Amino acid sequence: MIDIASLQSRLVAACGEKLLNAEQCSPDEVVIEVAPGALPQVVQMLRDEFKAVFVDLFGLDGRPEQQGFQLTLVFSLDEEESWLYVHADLDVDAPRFSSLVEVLPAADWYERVVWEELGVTPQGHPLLAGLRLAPDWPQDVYPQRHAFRWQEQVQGGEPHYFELAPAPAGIVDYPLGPVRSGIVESGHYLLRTAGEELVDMRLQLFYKHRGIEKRAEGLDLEHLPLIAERISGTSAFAHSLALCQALERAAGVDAPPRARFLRTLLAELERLYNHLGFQADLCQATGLAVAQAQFDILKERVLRLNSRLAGHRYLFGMNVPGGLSRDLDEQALQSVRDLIAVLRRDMETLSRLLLASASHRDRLEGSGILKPEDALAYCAVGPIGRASGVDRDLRRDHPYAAYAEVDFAVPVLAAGDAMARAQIRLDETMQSLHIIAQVLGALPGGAVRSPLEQLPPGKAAFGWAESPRGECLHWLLVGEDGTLRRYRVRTASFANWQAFSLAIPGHNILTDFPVIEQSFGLSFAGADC
Amino acid sequence: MILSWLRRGLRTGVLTTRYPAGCEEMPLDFRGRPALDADRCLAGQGCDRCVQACLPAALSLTTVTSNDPKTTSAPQLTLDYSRCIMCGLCVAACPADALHMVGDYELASTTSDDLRVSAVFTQEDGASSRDYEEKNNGRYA
Repeated sequence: MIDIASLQSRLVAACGEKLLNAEQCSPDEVVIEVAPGALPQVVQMLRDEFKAVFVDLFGLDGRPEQQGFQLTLVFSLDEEESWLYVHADLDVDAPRFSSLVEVLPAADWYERVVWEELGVTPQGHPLLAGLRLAPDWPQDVYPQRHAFRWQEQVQGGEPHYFELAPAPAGIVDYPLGPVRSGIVESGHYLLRTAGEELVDMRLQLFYKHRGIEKRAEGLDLEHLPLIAERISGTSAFAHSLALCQALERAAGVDAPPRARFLRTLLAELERLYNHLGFQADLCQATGLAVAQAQFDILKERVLRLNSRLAGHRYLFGMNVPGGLSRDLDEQALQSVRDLIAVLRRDMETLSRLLLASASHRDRLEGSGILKPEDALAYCAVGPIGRASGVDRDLRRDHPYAAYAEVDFAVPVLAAGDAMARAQIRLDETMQSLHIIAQVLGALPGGAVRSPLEQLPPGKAAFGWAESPRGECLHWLLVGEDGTLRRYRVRTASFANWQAFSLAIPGHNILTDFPVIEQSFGLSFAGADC
Repeated sequence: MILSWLRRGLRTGVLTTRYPAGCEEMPLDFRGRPALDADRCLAGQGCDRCVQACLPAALSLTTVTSNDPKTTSAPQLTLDYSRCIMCGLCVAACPADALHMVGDYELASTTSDDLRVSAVFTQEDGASSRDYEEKNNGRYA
């Protein structure tokens, strides 16, 4: 629980009259309203004195009901298990604020999104260029503004590309992607090399922008999980869980105990198949074909179990507002028990073999080091952050579903190299098996869905889940008609791609790149909803 | 170490299946495509619950325009598998139990027309429809 009196007094000291309001709006949420000019001081003070971790920045077009635009920053207070929202109302005619990139490097991409999609200018931003929209998207059409409708046909304008200065003599630019072999998603890297060494990299992502946030506005309640599931197929359950929990918070409805436990079980099954697939892909990158096959076999077993439990290999259609769409019978639970036993036995053997394989370790150790200070500055999340010393996990720090009722460890390493990222996922796999075993032992009876008919107009709510790639955060605002007026999604990969660029220059050679890329295991579509 | 992996691989044996030569068994309630039972469907009586429930507009209710006086202006329910996301919400919405999710997941087709099935509801003859299986008869047999 946060000490609101102490927070208020520190805020007054930091920004004086520019503090407009600070209050606790629920047991785990604090709202601070400040004038836009005070944002840098507030951000610095929250970080230095309250260990607040930046998790999101987004804008809201309040017109026509309210005057103008609102900027929201979301911070996590892990020790207090609380969320902190900083709101600043911006000028309606010339919406702008001072860029926070200097005090908060992680805000870089978030500010670009706000500039590009809402037309709010972060003054003093070091590189104000488009990020998620297509290069020929007209510059005066802002899809996050309230008046914009997703059905609108937008006429493409003059394409504007960001070009790097040509490479100096002796430096070679090596383009990779966007179309590559295999089933890798579309993403373009421009790798700058001096001989063998990688000296710089430029990323061009966001080929998969679907405007999911805008699409969700005005939809029926039962359709919303369908949208969230499609942000990233391999984190479908975590995303629909975060959304459904936000909807449940908005409506003041609790999912029944059985649904909370089953959600925990299914979320861990999702983590399992992702982490197993991760090890398989990493083994492929290091040329360990038998190990790759072994991990792929286990992944396929989990996917088949999923299809038996949910009717869908990637657990689509399970989460609904208020709980789950279907219950699991004793036979289904027994099949989970059986598979857990097999996985535990096999993982022990495979982990031991993998960690003793010199050819595998040689490629991973010391490759793609993301330094703990960089991970902290860019607010890296999930296994990537935890492999660089960021000791955060929403399951432990902001317990949801039934995570408060099970016992598990959060592995953290400080090395920050590809080996650490692989090791963290091996450890997390074992923890997932441990969690599932506990859920199966303590599963309560009863219904799996509470009625959730409508949302209270004007209510804002936040939902979160620790997806296999890290935290995914869903914020929503209910409109006057009871449907979503604004839906904001912060995915784990969006947070981590910024940090990825920092792990490349300086200490890697070109042939390390596939291994580093795989060791991050980032999603392209997942970064770009 | 290489020997350990080799031993492990040999012990595992062959696990790959003969698909598509051999059939892949799906669990009982696996959500493949939705199948429409036109005899039970109430679209002829003005029901459009499934159309309302369908987010990607895979289901649509129109009226037939043809020269045949029997069918012209008769209600026609069309299910377009190329738009369907297999969510099953139409099945839950159907008051007459006319829609079911079946295990069939092999929906590849050479023409988009093959992916559209429809049912026409005339006053005299009742419902007449062509299901996906009938339309693509024997393709995978």
